[in-house]
Amino acid sequence: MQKPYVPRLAIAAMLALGVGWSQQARAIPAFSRQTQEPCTSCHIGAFGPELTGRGRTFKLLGYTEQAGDGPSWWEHFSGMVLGSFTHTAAGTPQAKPSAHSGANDNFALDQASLFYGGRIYDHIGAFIQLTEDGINRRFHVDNVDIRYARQQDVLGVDTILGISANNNPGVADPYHTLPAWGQPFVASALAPSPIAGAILNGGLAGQVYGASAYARVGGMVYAEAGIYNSLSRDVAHYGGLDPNALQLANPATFWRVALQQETNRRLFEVGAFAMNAALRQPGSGADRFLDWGMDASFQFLGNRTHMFTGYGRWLHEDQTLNGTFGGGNSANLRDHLSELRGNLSYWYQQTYGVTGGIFRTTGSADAILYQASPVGGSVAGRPNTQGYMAELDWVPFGKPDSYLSPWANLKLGLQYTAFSRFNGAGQNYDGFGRNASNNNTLYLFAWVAF
Amino acid sequence: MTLHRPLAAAAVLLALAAPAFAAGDAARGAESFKNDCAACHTVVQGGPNRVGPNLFGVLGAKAGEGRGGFHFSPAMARSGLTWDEATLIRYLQAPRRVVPGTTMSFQGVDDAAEAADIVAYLATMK
Ligand code: HEC
Repeated sequence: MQKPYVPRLAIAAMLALGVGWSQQARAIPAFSRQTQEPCTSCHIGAFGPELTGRGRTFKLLGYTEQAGDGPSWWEHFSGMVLGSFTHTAAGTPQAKPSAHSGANDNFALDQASLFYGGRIYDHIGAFIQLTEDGINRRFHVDNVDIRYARQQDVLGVDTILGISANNNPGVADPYHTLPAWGQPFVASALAPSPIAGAILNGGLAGQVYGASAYARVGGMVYAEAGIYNSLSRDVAHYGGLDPNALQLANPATFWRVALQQETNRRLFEVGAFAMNAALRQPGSGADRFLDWGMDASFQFLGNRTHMFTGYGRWLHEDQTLNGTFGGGNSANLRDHLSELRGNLSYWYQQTYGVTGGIFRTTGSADAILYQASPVGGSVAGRPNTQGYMAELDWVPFGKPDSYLSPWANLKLGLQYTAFSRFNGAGQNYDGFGRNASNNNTLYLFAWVAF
Repeated sequence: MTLHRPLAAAAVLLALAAPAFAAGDAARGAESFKNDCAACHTVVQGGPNRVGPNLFGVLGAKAGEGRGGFHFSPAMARSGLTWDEATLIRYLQAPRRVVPGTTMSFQGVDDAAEAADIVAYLATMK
C-alpha cells in the first residue's frame, strides 16, 4: 500500500507477459460448425488463433459467412480448456506464483472458457469469451469482439468496411504482430514475469470497452482506428474483472495501418500502430503513455504441407508519470520502454509445429519504480529483460477428414523460455541472489476446444 | 516457304492466345481445388452446399442458378454469366472484379495457369 505504483506496474507486467495467455485462446469449433470448413481453412497449424488469409477475411467480414442457413443456435457455443505443467529452473519459495500454487512444478487448470462465436444477423457477428481463470480462481468476461461488416466496391476498389465493439486495443487486428494476438499464443501464468511491460502489451486487455472502425482496401491496405474507456468499477465487478486494474483517466485512442500483399498462398505485411492512454493515479495528475511501433509479417502456406511464418514487432512506450512522479513513486517524470519481439515458425502437414522466438525489453533506469524484491524485483532499477523461446506443437485433429471434426480439436505443446537478462541483470537481478536463468521455464500444455 | 507463312502466323497467334485457353492440367487442378476451394465448395455429385454451392457440373452452367437451392447473392443471380472456360478462368483470378458484389470472399488464385488447371479439373466433374 505504501508504494501503490510498483504493484500496479507488476500487474501490467503480469497481464502483459504472464497472463497474456488469457487473451489468446481462441480456436473455436463453433466457427467450423457455422462454415462447415475445417480448422485448417482459417488457422495455420489447424488450431487457433494463428490466421490464414481465409481466416483474416472471415474475421474482417464479422464472423458472418455461413454454410446454408447456418447451424442451430446452440452450435454457436464452444468450450475450451487449457491445462498445464510449469517448471522453472529454480523455484520461488519466497514469492509463490499464485495463492493456489506451490513454489515450483505446478500443474494448473489455466483456464476454462465458454464462447459464443459466429453470425448473429446478416452482417453482424460476434466472438465472445467468458473465462474461468484457474490460476486466480476468477470467472470473468474475457474477449469480446462484436462486429458489423460489409464488403463493397468503393470507387471501383474492393473494400471491406466494418466496426467492432471490443474490449482490448488490437484485438480486432487480423495479423499476429500486435500483442493482443502475438506469439507466444499461450504462456505459463505461474512463471516469474518481468517487472514491466508496455500498456499496449495487455495492460488494458478486458478492462476497457471501446469501438474501432476498420477497412481493408483492395487487399492492399488495412487500417483501423478506435477509442476506449475504462469500465466503471461496478460493471467491472459484475464482469468478474480485476478490481485493481489500471483505470483510464480519459478515453484512450488506438490506430494501426498496414500495407500487405497477399495471395491464397502467402502474405507480406508491414505496418505501424500507436496508442495514447492516460492512467488515473491517486493524488496529482494522470500518467500519460504513448505507445507506438512497427511490425512486419510473412506467411508461406504453399500447398499446405510445409508452412512458414515470421512475425516481428518493435514497440516503444514514452511515459510521462505526472501522478506517479508527483506522488514520489518514481525517480523520473519521464521514463520509456522498448520491446522487440520476433518469431519464426514451421508447420508440417498442419500437424507438427516448431517455433523459435527472441524478445528484448529495455527501458529507463528508475530506482524508485523498479526496486529490489525477491523474484519480481530489480536491484539495478531497470526493466531490461531478454531471452528466447522455443516451442513444439502437435495438433492431431482439425484437418478436413479428422476424427471429431467439426466437434473438437486438441493442441499439445512443449514450450521453453530462457532468460539471459531479467529485470536489469543476468546475475542476482533481484538483490536476493536470483539469476535470470533461474527463471527459465518449461511449460507443457494441453489445449482442448469443442 | 511463302506458302507456310499463314500457318506460322496462325501458330504464333495460337501461342499468344494460349495462356488464356491453355488446356489446364486436371491433376494439378485437383490439388489446387483441395487447397483453394474445398473449404467452401464440394464438387462430387450430390455433395452438400457449404459457404459456397456444390460445383458438380458447373462448367457450362448458368451462373447463380439451381445448385440445390443455394442462396446466391443478387449480384451472382443477376450476372447473366454462363460458366464457360474463359469466364471461369477470369472469375477465379478475381471473383469480385468479374461479379462485383458476389459474396464469394475468395480473393483469387495466383495466375491464369492455376485457374486453367482448376477449370480442367472442374470439367471432369460432370
Ligand atoms: C470463402 C469461401 C469460398 C471459397 C474459398 C471459394 N468459393 Fe466459390 N463461391 C463461394 C460463394 C459464397 C459463392 C456464391 C457467390 C454468390 O452468390 O455471389 C461461390 C460461387 C462460386 C461459383 C459460381 C457457382 C454458380 O453456380 O454460379 C463458382 C464457379 C465458384 N464459386 C468456384 C470456386 C472455385 C473454383 C474456388 C477455388 C479456386 C472457389 N470458388 C473458392 C465461396 C467460396
